[in-house]
Amino acid sequence: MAASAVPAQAFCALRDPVRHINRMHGWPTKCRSLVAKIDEDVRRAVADLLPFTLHARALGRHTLYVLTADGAPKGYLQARSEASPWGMVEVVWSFDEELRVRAFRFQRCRAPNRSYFESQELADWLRGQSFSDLLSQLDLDGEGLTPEAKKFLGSHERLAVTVLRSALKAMAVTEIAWGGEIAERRLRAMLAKSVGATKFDTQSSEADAQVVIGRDEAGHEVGRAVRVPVNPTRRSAGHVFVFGGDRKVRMECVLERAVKPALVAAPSGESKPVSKDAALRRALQAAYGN
Amino acid sequence: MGLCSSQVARSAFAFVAFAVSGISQGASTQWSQNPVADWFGGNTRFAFDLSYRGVLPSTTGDPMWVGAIGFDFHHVISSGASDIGTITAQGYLLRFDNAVMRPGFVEGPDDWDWNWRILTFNYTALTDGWLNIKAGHIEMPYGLEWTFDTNGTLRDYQLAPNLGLKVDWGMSVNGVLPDFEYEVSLTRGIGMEIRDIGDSYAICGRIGTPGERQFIVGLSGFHGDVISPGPLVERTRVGVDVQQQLGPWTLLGELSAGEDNGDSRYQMISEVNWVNNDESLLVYLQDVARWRESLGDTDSTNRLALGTQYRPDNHWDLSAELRQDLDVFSGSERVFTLMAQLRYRF
Repeated sequence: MAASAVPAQAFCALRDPVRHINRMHGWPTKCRSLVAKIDEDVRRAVADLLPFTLHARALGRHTLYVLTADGAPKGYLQARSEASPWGMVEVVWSFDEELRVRAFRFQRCRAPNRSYFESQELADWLRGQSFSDLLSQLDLDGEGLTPEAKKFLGSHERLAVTVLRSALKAMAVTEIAWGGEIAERRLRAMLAKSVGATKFDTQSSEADAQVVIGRDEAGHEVGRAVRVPVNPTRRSAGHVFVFGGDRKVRMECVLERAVKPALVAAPSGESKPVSKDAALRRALQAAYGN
Repeated sequence: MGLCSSQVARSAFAFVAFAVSGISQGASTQWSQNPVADWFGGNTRFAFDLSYRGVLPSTTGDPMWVGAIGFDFHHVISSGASDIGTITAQGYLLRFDNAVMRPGFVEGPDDWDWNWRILTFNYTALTDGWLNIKAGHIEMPYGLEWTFDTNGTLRDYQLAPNLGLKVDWGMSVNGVLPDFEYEVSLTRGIGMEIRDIGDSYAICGRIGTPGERQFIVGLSGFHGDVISPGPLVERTRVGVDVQQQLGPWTLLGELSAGEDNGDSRYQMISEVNWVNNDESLLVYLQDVARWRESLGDTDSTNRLALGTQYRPDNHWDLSAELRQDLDVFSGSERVFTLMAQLRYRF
């Protein structure tokens, strides 16, 4: 069992997924554990993003592995379990700094067609897929594949749905439970990738937004990156935007539900989640103050 | 009750907790989680663990009871970019009532005992996972038990009856490589409590294929002069264990052979188990057979067990097991045993 135990399981059974890191990314990739509590707030926030959410037994303290190679950020690793007709399927997911799939491996899978999902063909297909890409492969209730996805995965639909749901939950939980803590690192990495920044300043901003200014070697500003939480009043996903020197969006990482959730009256006194447009306005405000 | 070991262990834990706090203060504060976790440095898991077990043997018709109040602590010590090591501590206050059959460290049928199931520090910063060093109260790296966690459960893979030890004080090297994983330990051969019983020792190890595969095979070995109710026993074992998953079904087997003071010993475990979709329910049928040879005579036992473990949420664990002796050593009586346990972690 990878390090995702709930309190019902003794902690001596926890195993770090070092073999998976080696198999997926080779040596020397350093990993640093980051344990967070996955609680009802996280579960509710996942339900805001997906047509399904975490099982009650998945609550507890879980580990995100922060990967570094040669001193550079190399993304994140998380193990996530999903019930299946063959017992729990536990998948170790590797995501890049934009929370796109880098690779995955089974920590536990009893399904007879497991070998197909360990093929290079499937690994190539999954690599680089974002939250929106993966969500678009599932039907509206997240219980089956779309007709397009069935053309590729139809003969393995049950396990494919299990694996896709696992990936989506892992992405959502990473952003919701650890998003604030890993934000500075992600913003720096995304600034380096999108506008070539090599030096960084972390700027204090309004309490719920995080801002990093990217500069070139000469110290000239080349862009700014911002993370704003979807719902400032409770644990929630965040929207990440990277602006160039012209203040245009160069990169974004937004976990959004493809289909609008049913309208539910917000409880009195609770802030409503912000839309992407509103988040962009808040991000600009946080980054540039206007 | 083992006052000596409990005092030593408590002191060790206090030292470890202090050391952890100090080391972790050097890490970046961006990793902080919450006030309780921060006290330990962030990467902490902690649970209280309560359980009560009843055992009803047909021979006496008089139930035995074992209660446990304990904690389970797990902490990963990290530097800025990588992990340094892991502390695992599981301490339990046990209460035995009418325990006519009991482990060797329990002094009487009605007794209190403080017990460290696991108390280890595994130093993982030496390599990228292929060579770690562990010290403390270590579970013997042998057979099926090494790939499962049966501490505090009715389900068991007979490590203590086979080796005379399930956990022991000492050190190990362990690691994970692309195609296999291993652990080799050198321990005191004394079991649960720290005490001087002479020149005892135990060397134990297992090497196996990766635990995430559907077919797993492992080879184990054990040798030592170890604790027994009488004088030290010179014990040697070699074993092979296999697991094959077939959808929700799993077949398990372990064959162990060796000697106790020159007399042959064999043990075979066979199990088939089934889990439901979310693995909240486990049902298993397990057979344990043993043969022993002494003064040219061979004697054997065989016991069949049907058990179930139900974990409806992340707190409760309800277990039951029926055991029937099919064959027993000469002079013993066949027993049918009913066991049940209620466990709550929070």
